[in-house]
Amino acid sequence: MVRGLAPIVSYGVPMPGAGVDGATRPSRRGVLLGTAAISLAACTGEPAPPPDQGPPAPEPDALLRGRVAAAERTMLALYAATGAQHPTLADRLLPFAVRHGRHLAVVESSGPVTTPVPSTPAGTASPGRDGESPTLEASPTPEAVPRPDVPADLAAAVAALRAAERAAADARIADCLRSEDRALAEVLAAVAACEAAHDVLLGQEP
Amino acid sequence: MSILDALQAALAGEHACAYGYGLVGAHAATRDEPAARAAYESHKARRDLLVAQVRARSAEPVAALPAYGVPFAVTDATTASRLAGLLEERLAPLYADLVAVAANPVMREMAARALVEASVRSAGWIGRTTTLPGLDPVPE
Repeated sequence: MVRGLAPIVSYGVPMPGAGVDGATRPSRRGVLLGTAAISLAACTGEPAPPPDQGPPAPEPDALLRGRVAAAERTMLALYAATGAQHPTLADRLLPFAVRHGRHLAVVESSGPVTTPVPSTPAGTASPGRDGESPTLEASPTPEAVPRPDVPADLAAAVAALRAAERAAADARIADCLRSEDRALAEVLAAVAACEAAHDVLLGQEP
Repeated sequence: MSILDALQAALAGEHACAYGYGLVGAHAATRDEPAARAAYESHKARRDLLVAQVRARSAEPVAALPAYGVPFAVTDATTASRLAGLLEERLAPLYADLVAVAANPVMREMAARALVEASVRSAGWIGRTTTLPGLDPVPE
């Protein structure tokens, strides 16, 4: 019975097998980032938007990327403000902030980004002139993120970070379900997984 | 990768987790026993759900193996936690695959939530995460 299913079994992880799957899986992220690089190239090089049509309507996934990028910048600002308010936490918080910075980079390089900042016209993505690259860097600068309030009490500050991570993870799951691009959906699910893990890790003994 | 392939792979992973948590439960620290039991039950529930999904596609669900190789001896609470973390870390990519190929929003959500749960549990067991669980290479 089991022998007969052997070919099917090979789909799965030979868990927790003796190191075989190391060879079957290492390219996953490489493939993903490769795809991201290709779509980025497609956005930054050419083709130019159709002439005389004005800026094209932003695609839903581009708005989604813009919103996720803004949320990641908010998290980065929160970590920076928390580290500044509680210097004894700074070293411990650094790897968390680094991962958020990577989320931001991966999401922004996964395709076109339209930044949802209605109050500042410069914050919207716009096609480049004369077939130059669309403005992928048009997201709000970190300075544009309001400085978050950080509780003076250290435990309360950590609790605030944990709550922010939980809310972020929930929002990324919702974003994942909205995404039209399957690769983006996968990235957003992984970002949610990391943020939910951050909540757990921040709750552990240092 | 087809949806059926991704479902079968996730199912094979859940079989392995159910087996692995049997070992974990036998050696976990007393304070970790409830978590090990909850994880075991959760993996069995997802396994049953995946079995139903495979059957709904007129395919034969992949069966559990009689036994699974474990890369280190599980003899105490520390190695039990390590194994539990490894089980979850190795399960995560299977659900990431399923997120990418899911046929409908319900399946995508199930896969995304399973990925998040695997990541939360591995963080709980071994105190670490990667930037993109399920997409990053699984640490040794």
